[in-house]
Amino acid sequence: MTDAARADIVLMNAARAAGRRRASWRRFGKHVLLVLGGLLMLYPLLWMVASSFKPEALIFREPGLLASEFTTENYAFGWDFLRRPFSWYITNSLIVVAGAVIGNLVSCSLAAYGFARLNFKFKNLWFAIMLMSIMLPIHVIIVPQYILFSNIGWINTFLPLIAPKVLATDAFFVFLMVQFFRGIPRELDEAARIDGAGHPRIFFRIMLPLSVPALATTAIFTFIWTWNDFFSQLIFLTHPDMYTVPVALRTFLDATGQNHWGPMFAMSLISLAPLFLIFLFGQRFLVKGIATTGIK
Amino acid sequence: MTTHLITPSRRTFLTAGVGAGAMAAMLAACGRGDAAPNSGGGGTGTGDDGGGGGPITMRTALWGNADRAQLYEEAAAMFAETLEEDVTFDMSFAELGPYLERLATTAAANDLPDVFFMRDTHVGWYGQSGSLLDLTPYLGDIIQTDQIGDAAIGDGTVGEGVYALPTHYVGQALFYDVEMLQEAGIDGTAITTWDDLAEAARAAHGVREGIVGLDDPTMDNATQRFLEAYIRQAGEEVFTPEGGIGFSEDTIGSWLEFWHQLRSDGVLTPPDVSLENDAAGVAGSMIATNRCALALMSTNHYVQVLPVTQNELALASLPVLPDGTEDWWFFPPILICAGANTQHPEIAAGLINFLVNDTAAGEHTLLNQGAPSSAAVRDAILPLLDDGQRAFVEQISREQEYPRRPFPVRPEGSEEVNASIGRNSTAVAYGQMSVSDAASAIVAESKAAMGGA
Repeated sequence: MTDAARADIVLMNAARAAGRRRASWRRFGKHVLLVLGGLLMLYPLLWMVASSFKPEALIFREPGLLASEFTTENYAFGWDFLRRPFSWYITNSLIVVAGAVIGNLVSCSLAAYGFARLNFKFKNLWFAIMLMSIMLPIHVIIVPQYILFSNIGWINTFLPLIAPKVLATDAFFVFLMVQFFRGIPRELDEAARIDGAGHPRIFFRIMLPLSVPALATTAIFTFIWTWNDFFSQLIFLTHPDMYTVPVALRTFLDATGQNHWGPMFAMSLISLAPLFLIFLFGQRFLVKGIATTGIK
Repeated sequence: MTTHLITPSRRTFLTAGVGAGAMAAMLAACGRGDAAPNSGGGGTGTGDDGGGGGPITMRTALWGNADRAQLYEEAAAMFAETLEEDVTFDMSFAELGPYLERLATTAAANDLPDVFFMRDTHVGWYGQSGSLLDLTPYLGDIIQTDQIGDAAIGDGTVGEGVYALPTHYVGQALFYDVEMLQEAGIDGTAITTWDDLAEAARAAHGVREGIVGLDDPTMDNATQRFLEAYIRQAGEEVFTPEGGIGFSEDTIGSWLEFWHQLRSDGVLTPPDVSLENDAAGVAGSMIATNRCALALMSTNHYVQVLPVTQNELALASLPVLPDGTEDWWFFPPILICAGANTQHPEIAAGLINFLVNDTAAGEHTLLNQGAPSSAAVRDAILPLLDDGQRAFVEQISREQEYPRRPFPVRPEGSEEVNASIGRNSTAVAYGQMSVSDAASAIVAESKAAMGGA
């Protein structure tokens, strides 16, 4: 190898190294920006965490993250502020959420199977009507719902919050699963049919096992939306013993009198725990994809 | 693949679905079934129990937090003990905003609570819609009125009927920091006119480092009571008895100009800080946290401010226009009413009477909602109060002696008028709008909100 060629290689290596350095600097810069952006997004949450450990009087007087005093008083006070310990309201929420999740999983998947695989009269019309029901704002339907549930004596029970879910009223999830089912190759159904399976067997043995990501999405989002739902729970549950977490949290506040901000932040933080856990354990089902599908 | 001997038929398939649903429903029904005895009855919650002499469950509701709910639950239980019938009062409560949303829904379903607290801003709408029980037949009979006076009955009168009565009153007041004003060479007790107030604010501004002279009340878009006082002093009304707009562009312009001048002199709370303070409540307000020398507040807030403030704060009456009307005084009432759908109107009227007139109830609930509307109850609770509370009640009692012309009930759409005033005042505070533009915008928008009246 000539000197000139050798020099070329050295130069090229140097250039490549410099390029790599530049690339790694660029990556470092990107990460710094992302971390800063993430912290900015997290700030309100961090502020809530910090405020939940501050004495009530300091929350708005020292609005920074670091306070001159640290206390766990808010947690003790907030836990026992209402007539029942706060765990009571968490249990209420969990009952509603469990009912809603089970109801949605069972009913929406069944309805979606019907739309995706069965043939019946006016199928497209029904499907369109179902989709339109997504667009109705809650304020439009809550009054007729209230009248209905009030007449059958369901006010102050969890039934108004759960029974509709058992009837596949969450059109969004039906739509989600219809789209998912349509993506599952029909050949799988047909093979099962040749083996003598009917609709139930196809549904339970073929569709459901292949739809874990869609079911997980439904379960997780139903959990989050129901856990955070305030308005319908406020309307249907008026007895203080029936309050769920969001309704109970609002009773810490009183615009015309005294607000218990610190205890509210403390209890808010506690009520975030189930959401955090569901995300932590649920997300792997979300990403565990459709790779298991039989036919490519 | 494992094989199962039982092939699910269409029927088992359906059963599985229905079964899962039923399980969820049972889970729901069993969960806290014991928690709310009788209250899940739907309808009026009383319907099936009435008449037969069996136990009666009646529903009550109030806005506020759990502290207040407990006080009133206990007071209602005290009333229940005086009854021959076996009555239980079930109380629901929520913060004001959600409370009003819940009321609106239950009113639409004709399922209002039997007895509940009502905002003076909403009684007009509910009264007109026929959702509330007309209390006229019970006045002077089950409900005593000699201690609350005719003005109190006027507070709940909509059209021909009396649909609500005040249990408590609040008022408007001036709070000032005694030491700061002393350091500024101002005698707080001598502030009687709006000009006095402006002068005191200019003198006190910056008397200590970072101290604002006067808190800016114009950006509050909730009730606009101070503006209402000013308008009444000027001989006008915010709303006419017929439900129209009763104020002129000149009056609202002079009000905005008064604050604009002070803002230009730099002695008011900066608008950003005002907005921030909205979320902090009374305990986080400028005057409670000792960041200003003077502030216009609801009189009842004095009781809430005293425990949290570090400085000595004094309570005074609102400033007046020197050549204004004498009979402008008004007291925003906390009203109580009954649903027209109640199955037990006489017990409902009895509870209303108890909460308005009974001294034992007054001694139990004290000043939680304001100063009791009944003069006898006010006198009865005075010995139980601390100094700050007594100052509040005495100020209300004193001001109630002044001549008062009727205070028109808020008509439907009144919230939009308040919002318009708040919005345009905020634009002035931020310098986005001139005073005259804001004044004409407020008048135009308010007229539009009230249907052009």
